[in-house]
Amino acid sequence: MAPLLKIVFILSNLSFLYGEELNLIDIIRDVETQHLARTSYAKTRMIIKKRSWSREMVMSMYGEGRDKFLARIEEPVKDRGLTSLKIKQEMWNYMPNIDRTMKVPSSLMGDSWMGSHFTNDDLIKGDKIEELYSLKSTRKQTDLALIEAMPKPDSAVVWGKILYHIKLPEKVATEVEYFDEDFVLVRKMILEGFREMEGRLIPMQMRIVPIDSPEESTTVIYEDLQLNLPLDSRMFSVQALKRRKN
Amino acid sequence: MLWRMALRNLRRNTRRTALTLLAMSMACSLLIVTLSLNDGNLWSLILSATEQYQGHFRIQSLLKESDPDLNHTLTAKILPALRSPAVHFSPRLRGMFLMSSGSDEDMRSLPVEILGIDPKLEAKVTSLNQHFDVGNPLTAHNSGGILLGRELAKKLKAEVGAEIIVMGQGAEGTIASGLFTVQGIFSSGDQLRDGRLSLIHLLDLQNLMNLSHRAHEWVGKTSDPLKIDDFVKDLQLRAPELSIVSWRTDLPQLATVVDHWFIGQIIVMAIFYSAVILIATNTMSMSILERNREISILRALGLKRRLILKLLLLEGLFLGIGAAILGAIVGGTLVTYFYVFPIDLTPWFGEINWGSLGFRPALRTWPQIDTLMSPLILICLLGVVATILPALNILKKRLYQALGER
Repeated sequence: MAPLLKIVFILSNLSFLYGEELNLIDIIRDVETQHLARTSYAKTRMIIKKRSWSREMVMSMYGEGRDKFLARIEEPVKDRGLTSLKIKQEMWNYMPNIDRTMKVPSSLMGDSWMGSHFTNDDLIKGDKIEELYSLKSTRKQTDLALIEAMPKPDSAVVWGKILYHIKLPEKVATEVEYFDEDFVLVRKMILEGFREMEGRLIPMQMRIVPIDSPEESTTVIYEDLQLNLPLDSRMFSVQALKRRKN
Repeated sequence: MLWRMALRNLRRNTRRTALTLLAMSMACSLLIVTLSLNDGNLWSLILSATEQYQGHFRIQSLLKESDPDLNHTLTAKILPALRSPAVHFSPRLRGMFLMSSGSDEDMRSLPVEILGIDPKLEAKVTSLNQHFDVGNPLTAHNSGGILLGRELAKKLKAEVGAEIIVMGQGAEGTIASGLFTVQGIFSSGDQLRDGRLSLIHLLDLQNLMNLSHRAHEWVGKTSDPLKIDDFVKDLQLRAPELSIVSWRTDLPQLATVVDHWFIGQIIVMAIFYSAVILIATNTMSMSILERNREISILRALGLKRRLILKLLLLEGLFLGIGAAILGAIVGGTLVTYFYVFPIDLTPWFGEINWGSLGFRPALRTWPQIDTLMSPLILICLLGVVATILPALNILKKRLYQALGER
């Protein structure tokens, strides 16, 4: 009888572990896709603060699932119409002043997007964290959980480690810390102004702060967010970029 | 009286005098050319490395030294305080861009560095706008043309006339995007640099980046790059608010090579000087020993040894002066020719890349007053000094012995 009890005990623990992993994957997927849905539209204001200058941009962002995304600058007027389009793992920029489209190579997905502290990849959520990283809960309190994401051995990713600060029981991230391959903290993203939409809590403000220049930051404020609205799927194409000049 | 006798003696046997003169003048011109070629090799090394891209020194904002922010720029207002005779300056603006070529279906994009130059001023400092595989250099007026490094053009599969799209960051966070036409494909001598560098007119880049009348750095060329450290110290005293960096700091490997060069040069010079001394001494000895009988007859006629020695020394001095004049004409002509028309050895040996340095091997002389004058003085002295020993040898012999020798 004793061996049978042992097996039952082990199996029950395994199912607990499996259950927790599923839970972590769900949480991280929700965090990474919090502003996305079947379709989505957002009007955002991006405030970039650098040591020697600061800048503000207003953008319209459209999304279809996780694979299609389009961000178009509305303000300042000089840059109006400048658009970034992501389809699956590929990204293009459209420049209205020269009426040309440029493909962004995948090797530059980790580079700054439009001079901000966000990378191209942050914008398009190209990396599927829950698939490319192994997740582990490192600390759990009544109101806070820390989830550590470490890259899987065969994953080609930008970050050496990502640490999610998850607020409980809402299961939303309030802070995300990004580490390089030597596990040195490089930047952190602070998520604030949560609002309930379509049955989930969504942060309406995100702020990225580079650790080596704490006086710098990029803040994205969601002024309008609509989920699951009717969108023409054809807008997510390179040809459509040129048609939408103004 | 004595110098007339010496001149008459030289004229008396023209074949002997001509042969001696020829041997000594050849030795002299050989030494002049060898020393100048040796200097030319050193200068080729320095010029090849600095003229391709670097210049002899660069001036940038102190802030730029610690922070690569593209907004740390300079204007031409810094120049009046730094101007010196025989020093040329050229402004440069640089930016990192994403560059694309090809159609929507077959587009190639790469991160590149675009350097904005003033073609007229840059030509006085570097040859960046001069070495072309195909196409034409940038002209004095901004034209929307772009020059691509050879390796970059290969990666982008872009040829002359191709359309190039660039996108990057402009001043104070603005987004800079532009359209250019490939005007030429250059080779700066450094494959690594040619894989990521493109050139456009300074005004084009200033407009693109919204940085009118601004430059990230001023590169300069001095008349003597070997004395660059003293020169930079002097400039730094005049403009302490700027960061002035010499080629020795930017190209430390080259600085080490140059420092070691001087040690090697001492050995090489010792060998060449010894060879010339041997040639001259042997020639003079032979021409005097040949005159054993003639000198002994002069003694027999009552001419004193001291006077004969003076006569021979005078003849040696005249031969030395003659050889120096001939050597200066032949050597000077060759040195001038290879200075004005250096032979580019790149077609045979290719560009030599060593670390981050690229060299174009060339056969070039470098005329310097000391390398021209020292062989001339040496050959004049040798004419006299090389006479002493064989002359004494003959004069110390007993007269009957000297006259009896065949």
